[in-house]
Amino acid sequence: MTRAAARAAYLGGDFHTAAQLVETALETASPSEAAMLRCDLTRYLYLVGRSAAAQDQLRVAGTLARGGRDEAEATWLATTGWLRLHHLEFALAIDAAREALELARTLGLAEIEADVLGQIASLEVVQLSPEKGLARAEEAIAAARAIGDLDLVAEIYVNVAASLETMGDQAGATAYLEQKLPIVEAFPRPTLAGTFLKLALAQLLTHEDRIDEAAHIVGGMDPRRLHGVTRILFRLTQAEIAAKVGNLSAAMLWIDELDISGWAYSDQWHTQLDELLKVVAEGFDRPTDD
Amino acid sequence: MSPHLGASVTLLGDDGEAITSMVVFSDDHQIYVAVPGEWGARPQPDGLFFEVTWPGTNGAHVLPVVAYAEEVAHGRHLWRLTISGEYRFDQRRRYVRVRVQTPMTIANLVGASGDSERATMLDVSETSLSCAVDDVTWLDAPAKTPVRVRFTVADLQFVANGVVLRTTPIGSDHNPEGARVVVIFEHRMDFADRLRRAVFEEQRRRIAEERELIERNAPEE
Repeated sequence: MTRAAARAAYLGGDFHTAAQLVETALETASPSEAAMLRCDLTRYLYLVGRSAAAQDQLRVAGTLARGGRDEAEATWLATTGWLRLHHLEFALAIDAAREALELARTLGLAEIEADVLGQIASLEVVQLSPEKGLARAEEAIAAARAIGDLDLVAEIYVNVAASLETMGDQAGATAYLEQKLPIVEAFPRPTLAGTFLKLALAQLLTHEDRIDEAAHIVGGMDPRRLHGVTRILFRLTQAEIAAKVGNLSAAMLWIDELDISGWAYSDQWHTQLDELLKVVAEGFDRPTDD
Repeated sequence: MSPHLGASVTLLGDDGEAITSMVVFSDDHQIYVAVPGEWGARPQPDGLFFEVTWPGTNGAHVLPVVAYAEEVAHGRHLWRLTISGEYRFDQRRRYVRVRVQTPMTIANLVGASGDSERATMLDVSETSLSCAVDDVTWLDAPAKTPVRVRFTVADLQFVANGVVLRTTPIGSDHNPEGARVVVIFEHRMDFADRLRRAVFEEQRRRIAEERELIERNAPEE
């Protein structure tokens, strides 16, 4: 129940609450539950910028799960792949993900299988070729759809696009997300990763100076329903759009509402904010229409 | 921070549905609200995430909660909303306002003297500022009283005419130690452009200071 509640908080973008719920559950968890809870906690702690604490949790989970050849070990392997992927340790990540995939298939754990297939798709984009990675992504998406996990489907889209961007193919990442946007919009319910996808696409479009299209995407979103990372991305994108069109008052207001510390993406967002501040400063040297 | 008894609140669901209810009890950890009529015949919640929001001055209070139905008497239910995240206030401002603590002057242009008085600027945006003055007679200045202010933002000096929006006592209402005066500037495009840039510079300084503070206080991992 607590694990599900934490996952619900995570899917709502509230990673801090997700981590707190798992930490509380750990106090009364049995050893077998503890391994999987610590794997969940690893992801949540990493996402709130506590990378070292996340690695500690994963290490402890490994001592509990390694060698068990059960769901706990498959979860630990999948989480190891996930964390390595986020640390851009691609070779280590793919080893763990492949081992997780094999074990998940042996045990018939469809959720873990879909998750690690998604990871492998992102890794193959970087390590092998975009074509192979994209083909693998379709396999992962089919697996995620088979278990009805729309959040995972959207997450795979976002991660594959991020891998394309990592490879310097920004146009490819944009085209990929543009192609996937209608699919996500047709989902019967909103998903965190779907929202993330829209915002990631809006950011890419903004950076390519396709401002009207970016503004159309964020303009259709209700900020009251955005939490955590999605709220930050929404405000950052709005600020970038406002700065690019020379509406400096609006850009300043969005910047004022940014609170980007304490997340895994904080360094990246700080870099974006620095760039944004430069754009706004340059805007003062040009005639404005606001 | 939680809504007061009897307050009308809106519960925003993860799926975007907005339903209204009323607060019947609250403390630091939970809020009890009436079962929303719009909920209809759906199963009562047992761990559903919502954001409870209620209006405030210039914005909306927002509190993440988890809702549980609870029987309080003979089949009568309330919803217990357990606070599950950080309170926030969604602003409805149109312009950035930066907080400052710098000396300035303000002159009341009504009457003969029009002498400038010393004041401390508290915050400033491209359209307005607020300042603290020792002279409690400012509390008698009605809205729209014309004033002239001189102040500095980001090392740039400004002189502007404006009007009083409101005044509020500093300290106790009965024995105030001074007055807080909010001034709206008379609209001049070039002035607003110049001031906006200065406010931005101040904003940029503040962002840099905040980041330095966070980095200095970050736990070493």
